[in-house]
Amino acid sequence: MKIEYKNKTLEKTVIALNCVAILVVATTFVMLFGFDVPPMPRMLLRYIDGGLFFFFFAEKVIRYFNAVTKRDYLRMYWFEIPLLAAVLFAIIGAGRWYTGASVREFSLDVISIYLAFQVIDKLCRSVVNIAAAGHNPARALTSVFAALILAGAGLLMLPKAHHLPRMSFTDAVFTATSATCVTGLTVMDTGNSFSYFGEVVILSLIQLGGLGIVIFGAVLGMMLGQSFSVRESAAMQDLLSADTLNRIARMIGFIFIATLVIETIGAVLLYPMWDNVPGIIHGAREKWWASVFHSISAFCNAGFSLLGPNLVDYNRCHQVYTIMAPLIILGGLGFSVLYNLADIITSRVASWFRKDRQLVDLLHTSAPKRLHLQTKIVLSVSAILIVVGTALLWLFEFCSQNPKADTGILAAFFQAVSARTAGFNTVNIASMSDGSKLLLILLMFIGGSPGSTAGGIKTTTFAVIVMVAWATLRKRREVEMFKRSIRLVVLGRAITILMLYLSMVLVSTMALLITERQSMFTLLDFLFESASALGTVGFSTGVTPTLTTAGKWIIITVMLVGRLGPLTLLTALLFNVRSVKYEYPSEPLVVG
Amino acid sequence: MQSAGSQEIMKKIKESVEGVFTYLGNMHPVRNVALGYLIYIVIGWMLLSLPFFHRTGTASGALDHLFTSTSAVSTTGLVTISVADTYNTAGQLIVMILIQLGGIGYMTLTSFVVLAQNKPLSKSRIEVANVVFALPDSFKIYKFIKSVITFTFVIEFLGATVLYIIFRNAGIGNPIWSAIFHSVSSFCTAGFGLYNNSFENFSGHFWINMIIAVLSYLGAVGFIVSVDIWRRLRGKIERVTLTTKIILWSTLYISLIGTFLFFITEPSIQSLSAEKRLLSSFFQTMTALTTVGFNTIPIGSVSRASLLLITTLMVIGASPAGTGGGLKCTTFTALWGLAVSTLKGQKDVSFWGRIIPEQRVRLAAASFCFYVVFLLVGVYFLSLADSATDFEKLLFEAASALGTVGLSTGITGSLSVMSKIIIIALMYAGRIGPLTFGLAMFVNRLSEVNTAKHVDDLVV
Repeated sequence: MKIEYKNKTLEKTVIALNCVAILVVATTFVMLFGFDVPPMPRMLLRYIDGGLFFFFFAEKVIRYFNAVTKRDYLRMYWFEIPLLAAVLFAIIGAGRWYTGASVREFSLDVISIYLAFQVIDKLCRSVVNIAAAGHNPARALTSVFAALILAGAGLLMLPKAHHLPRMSFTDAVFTATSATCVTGLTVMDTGNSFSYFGEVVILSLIQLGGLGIVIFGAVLGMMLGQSFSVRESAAMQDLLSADTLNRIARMIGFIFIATLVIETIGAVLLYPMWDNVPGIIHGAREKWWASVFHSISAFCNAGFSLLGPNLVDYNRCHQVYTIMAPLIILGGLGFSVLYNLADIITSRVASWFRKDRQLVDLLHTSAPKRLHLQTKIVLSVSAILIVVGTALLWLFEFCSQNPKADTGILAAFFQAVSARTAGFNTVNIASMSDGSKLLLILLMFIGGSPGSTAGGIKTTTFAVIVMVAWATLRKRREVEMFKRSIRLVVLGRAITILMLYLSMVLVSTMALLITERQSMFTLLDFLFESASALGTVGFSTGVTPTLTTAGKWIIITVMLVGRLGPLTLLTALLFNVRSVKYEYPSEPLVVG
Repeated sequence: MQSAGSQEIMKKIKESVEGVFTYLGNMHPVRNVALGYLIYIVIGWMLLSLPFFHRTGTASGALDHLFTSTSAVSTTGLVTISVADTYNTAGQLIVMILIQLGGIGYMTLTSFVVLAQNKPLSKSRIEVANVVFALPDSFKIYKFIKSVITFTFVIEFLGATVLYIIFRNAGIGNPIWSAIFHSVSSFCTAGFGLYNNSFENFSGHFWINMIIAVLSYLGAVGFIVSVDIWRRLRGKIERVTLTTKIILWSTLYISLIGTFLFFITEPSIQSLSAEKRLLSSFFQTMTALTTVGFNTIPIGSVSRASLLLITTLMVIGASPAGTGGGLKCTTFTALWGLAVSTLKGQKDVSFWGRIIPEQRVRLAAASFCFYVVFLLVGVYFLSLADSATDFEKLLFEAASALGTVGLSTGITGSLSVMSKIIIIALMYAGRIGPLTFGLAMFVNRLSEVNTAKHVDDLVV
């Protein structure tokens, strides 16, 4: 949706000033939080931030009055109002909760957060605009990711970000890549090595990387169901009808809201968990930060933890199984599924409340809501994988040479869930039996569902391949799932993805075996590491910190491929088509 | 009274025997194949267990003989005991016969016997042959089987002659028997050796390397290709079939790439001279790809990267309707064609300008899935049964068994009883093919085998 402005020169000036403002914000932030002793006086920087706060407020108002259709403007920027209200509320509230100098500190903190939001919002919009105007969305996505990673790495190298004497470029890039690709492999202990600022950077990368991929995937998924003719030099936004744009906007809005709601609830519910194991995390601030961090990390299927041995110390707390596991599962279902489910639930609830039949008929002029094919497949495959994975893991650990006291059915459950593709662990992975590691590799390889932050070949791809094998076994002519037939085109994509992933794992393992010749780790460990990186999981048998520099760059590449690969592939498929019309008698199924 | 009673019994026996034959005749061709191989293995097992065929002084158990019999019929080459030390010459002859039967397929031999009596093959036999060989439609079964048998014996004879000359010049004991045995063993890509360390003593010997390689490639490349080339050379047809071209090119490419990778990364051969290194790299690549299983350098001491490389080659395997195992290169090319066509956005799967029918592509995909599943499940249970052994060695062993290769890092003899049984099952499944294995279990009625299309058919 583009907003028309009355005075073009004014709009252009505003845009230019915005760019400057963004740069200034970024610089002040870097100086304030990046260094122990800021190059410029601290108070000065904070007052600049305060000034920018008013600038952003002013620029909104100017734009409002400059817009041709004020309603459109309000629709696009509606969330600014509650955001501003929240900021003002916090500042006013600060006067009541805190006293003295800390009032000002808190207010300035809140203003900094608001500024951060603004900058992020503007960057996102400009990115979307650039991407929509471009011919190759895959390239846009890759560049955005590269920019994020480099910026993140740069920030992480700042002295204020870490407690180490020196952070090497490789390690910074590794951590930044691992965060942006929501993998979770770490070359150093996150909680101990990074300061609060560093942890904030990592968390931001996780959230941005996760959301970026999801939004891109959602847009692509919607375009997949379109019939359109593609000319060679078509810009993306030419291809989308107004209706599609609306649906995309609604989808993106849904993604943001759902993410915010789920992560907030998760953080709140996680708060009491830290008290169960005394001595590690104490103090309200630390506990809040840990809750927020782990909630976001779980929902984005990242697997980063502020605790050294991940969640091993907390494996007796029920929240791990009742809060973290559901967060991981929800994050892995994919937003199209979540959207479908939310749609159905709200319509059912609405119809339940409206007992009046006439009103019901009036409201439900559209087709009755049903579960899409994608939803059915995702839900069933995920359920099967969790159940079977748990059972097998428990069985194999139970039957292994050295059964451990803390590997009960709950541990098996969590590991099975976490393998697709979060990466939190409640037991020490290195000490699991070889069979269990193999099972985990398989689960990591399959991964989550399309349209989510999870990696792997995806549950839908897996389902298609299994059904093809089954159909061949039964000598059936058609491949079908849930009474819908799957066409050769989809099978082709599924097999292509499978082959590419397999080759990538193989090549990566072999490369690692060559670069890590001196290592004591076995082939299985390197295979595990490669599968973990490619599926953006984050499990490790302990290989990661011991990698040589070459090995680290191999893993960095594999993580990027694992994150970006499927989507860029899908884009290439979508935009390479020469035929004019697509007919989809069967439902579109997003594979990969 | 008694004669009437015994007549009754005779009649009953006759009826039951006839009943068995009718059952076998009406059985689904896939089940027929599976059962046929099983019978061979059991007969071989019984024979090999007889002390008549053993040398004195070596102990061996029933499981070892079952292992050897399965290994021979499936042309694998893994052994838990030393063949030369355990069996006398008569016993080794039994092993060789089992290898030969396994190599050319149980169907081929029995069909040949039938054809030699100039009786027409029954419809069920033709269907079974179709399943076993999964041939393109343009081949006629009768002539095909006849050519197979002739071709096999001619090549093996020539190979034995050349080997005899080489062995005699190298001063090896028992050159005639050794030459015959190893010729058959190579052509059938079995990899059974009469020397306990395979061909490690001859690692630098150019001609032995070459002749084994030639025999193995001929056996692995398959009857279709060889017969096709022969017909082309004799001018009977204009062009070789698509299948032949694909098999030849993919074998060539993969061999080159494998040799190259092995050459540059393997540390244990870096100390050798360049020619010997090249020869070793080539031989190890060849042995894994053709699934023969002879080795000229100790596999137990190669680096892990090379182990992975060899495992990959073993999985890719040889060609269909050959004596080799593995997933078969044509399956890979079909899947590769599918991937390329998908990336190009084409509706049909094509390879080198010809369309591959959808049924074949699906078959390739299904074979691939089954193979991977079998491998994973096999490795899985092996790691449970032998949890003390290194995982990579178990993976190697399982891949070697499923691909009917026969290379080993040396753990075969020391595996637990359960593991040996698992390996036996994997070898058997590898010979009849994982997809066939699955079909044998699930199919309970005869359905149409394949549809004739006027597109160039591709053997999967």
